[in-house]
Amino acid sequence: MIKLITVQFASLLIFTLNAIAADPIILGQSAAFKGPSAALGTELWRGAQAYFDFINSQGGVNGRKIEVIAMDDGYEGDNTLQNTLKLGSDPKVFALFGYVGTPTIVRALPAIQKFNQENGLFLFSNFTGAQPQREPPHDKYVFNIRSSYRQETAGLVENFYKLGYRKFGVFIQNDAYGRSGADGVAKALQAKNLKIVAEASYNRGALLTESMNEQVKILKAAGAEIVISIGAYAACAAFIRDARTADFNGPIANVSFVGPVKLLKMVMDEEIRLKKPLTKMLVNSQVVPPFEDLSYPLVKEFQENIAKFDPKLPENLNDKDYNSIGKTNFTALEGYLNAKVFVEIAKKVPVGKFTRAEFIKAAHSLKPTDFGMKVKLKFTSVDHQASDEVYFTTPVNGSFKEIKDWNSFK
Amino acid sequence: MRKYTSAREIRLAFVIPVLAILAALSVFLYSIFFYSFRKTLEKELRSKGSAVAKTLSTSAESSLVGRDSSTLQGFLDEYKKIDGVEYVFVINEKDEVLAHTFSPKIPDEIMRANPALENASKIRIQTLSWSGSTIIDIGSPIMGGVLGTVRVGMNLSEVLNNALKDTMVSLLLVTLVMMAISGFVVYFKIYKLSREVFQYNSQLVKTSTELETAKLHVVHTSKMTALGEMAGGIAHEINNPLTILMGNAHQGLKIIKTQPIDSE
Repeated sequence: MIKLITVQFASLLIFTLNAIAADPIILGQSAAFKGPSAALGTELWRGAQAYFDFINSQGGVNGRKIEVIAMDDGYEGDNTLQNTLKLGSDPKVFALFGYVGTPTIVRALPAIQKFNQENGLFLFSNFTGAQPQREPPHDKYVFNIRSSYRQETAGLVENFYKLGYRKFGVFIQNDAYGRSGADGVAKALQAKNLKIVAEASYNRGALLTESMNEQVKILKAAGAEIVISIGAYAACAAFIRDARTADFNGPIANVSFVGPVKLLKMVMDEEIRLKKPLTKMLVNSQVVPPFEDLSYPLVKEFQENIAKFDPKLPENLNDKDYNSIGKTNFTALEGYLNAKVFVEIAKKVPVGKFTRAEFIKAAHSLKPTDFGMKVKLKFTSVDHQASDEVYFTTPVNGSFKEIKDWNSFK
Repeated sequence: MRKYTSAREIRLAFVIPVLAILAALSVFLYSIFFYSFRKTLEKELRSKGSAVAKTLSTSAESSLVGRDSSTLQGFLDEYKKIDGVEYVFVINEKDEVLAHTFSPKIPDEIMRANPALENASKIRIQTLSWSGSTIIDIGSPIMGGVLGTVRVGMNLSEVLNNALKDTMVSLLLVTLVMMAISGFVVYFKIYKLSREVFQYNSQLVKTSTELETAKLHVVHTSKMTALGEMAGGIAHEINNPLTILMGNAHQGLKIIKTQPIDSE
């Protein structure tokens, strides 16, 4: 009898534990799924979802599946703020995850700060290298995976400086993102007692069809030998076209956020249309390895899992006008990495004590770990940026390859 | 003096000046209205722009010292959305641009306008004209000018145009309706009046025609009377000597009959 009761009790306990364990870990995401920046949110989501699908197919994190509640903000700060307020006050949401963009996150940060003070909410990973979420007071409740724009631009400045370039110009999007990049270039040059020779900006949302001749003229007039662009693919492709047409033949560098695949496709289409070589002397800094370079273990498993799970956005977030930039790309790989780091930390949280405070504690004790990028990532209580790695790529036959020899950019 | 040959002409002669006076009055009143409206708006934009510039220069203090400019740019982008704000930019104490809302760059004429004052800690306001618009440029020093300046441009022309766009349509409509009503009223009143005048006129004409006829008649009658009298007079004048002649003749005959001439 006693045995029977014990068995019953034990089974009840297991049942209860299972019930608790069956509760999914829910992440809230605000990103651009619709409109001109749809590629960013969509691909970041697809990459992360491919990894979550993989982990969920293996039984989840300690028996708990991971789900993402995604909301579209169309890359507009006001919407990001509204979405953050909704997600932050939803008791089901464990953490915020995979935000996209600088002007958007800049608006959301104070709201996240408010929730953090009330209930410890935090943002894990975002698709921007801007400084505000890497500096006090916001760095406390934001975990960044990728390198910053400052590191990307500093790396670009460093490499081109070594080649003998001294006159750096910047072409920037007229908002917090562009400003963050320009600031990074200025800071890197300052260390070498140099200044940006000229800055030309364009309005956010500019299309490929728009002329960037004014911007080219300003930069050429100031004698810029190299231009670092901090913008979105359409405007940056238009700039490359107009700069080359105006016989600016110096290097033009873009940063990770530009949407490199889409940028290259546009430039190549313009190349065919204008019958003029446009893809020479182009550099793109990246925060993840080239997504087709299978020598990176991360890239290999990413390619496999994307092919296997091929995640599709929920109907309400699907932008019908969005033309896929291919099943795999840099953005999706970054999303995949973000998800992988999240899961790695989540696995370290003691079972049954899955709270925000415990998660943060686990994150802070993330020892240097190789996630397959040939470098080790880590968090500490004072350093909320996991990776400091910047990859420099250049288009070769229509796809990005890591730069092995910088001398070709002399 | 002009002679009016028809009632229509009289009506128009009244309606046109009335409408002209009304139009002139409207133009005059609207000019006064626009002038004071512009003044009020300008005053309001100055204070709005100053508020924006002061708020920004205060918040810039904390975000400038050792921080990334993207936070500052984020502020600028938000302030740029405010009605009437044409541009916002921040320059440091060396006049180097830290953040701005222009594309592709800050125009030189705006950069040069509204330079720092002797007393750098004071807010300064200047009106300038740029690409066809009147801009109220406000410069607000950051930390007393030590860290630089926030410059805010308020587009007076645009705000004025936007404010007047709707007002203009309704004002024009009201004026037109007012003119139509008064034109109609004047026309109608004059129409009634002129009809009466023309009725009296035609009666007058009739009476005077009759009078003329009567006069002619009277003249004819009196002419005949005079002729009659004259004929009477003549007859009388002839009659008198004839009577004497007749009497004398009778006397002669009598004498002849009683006293033969031979017997003597």
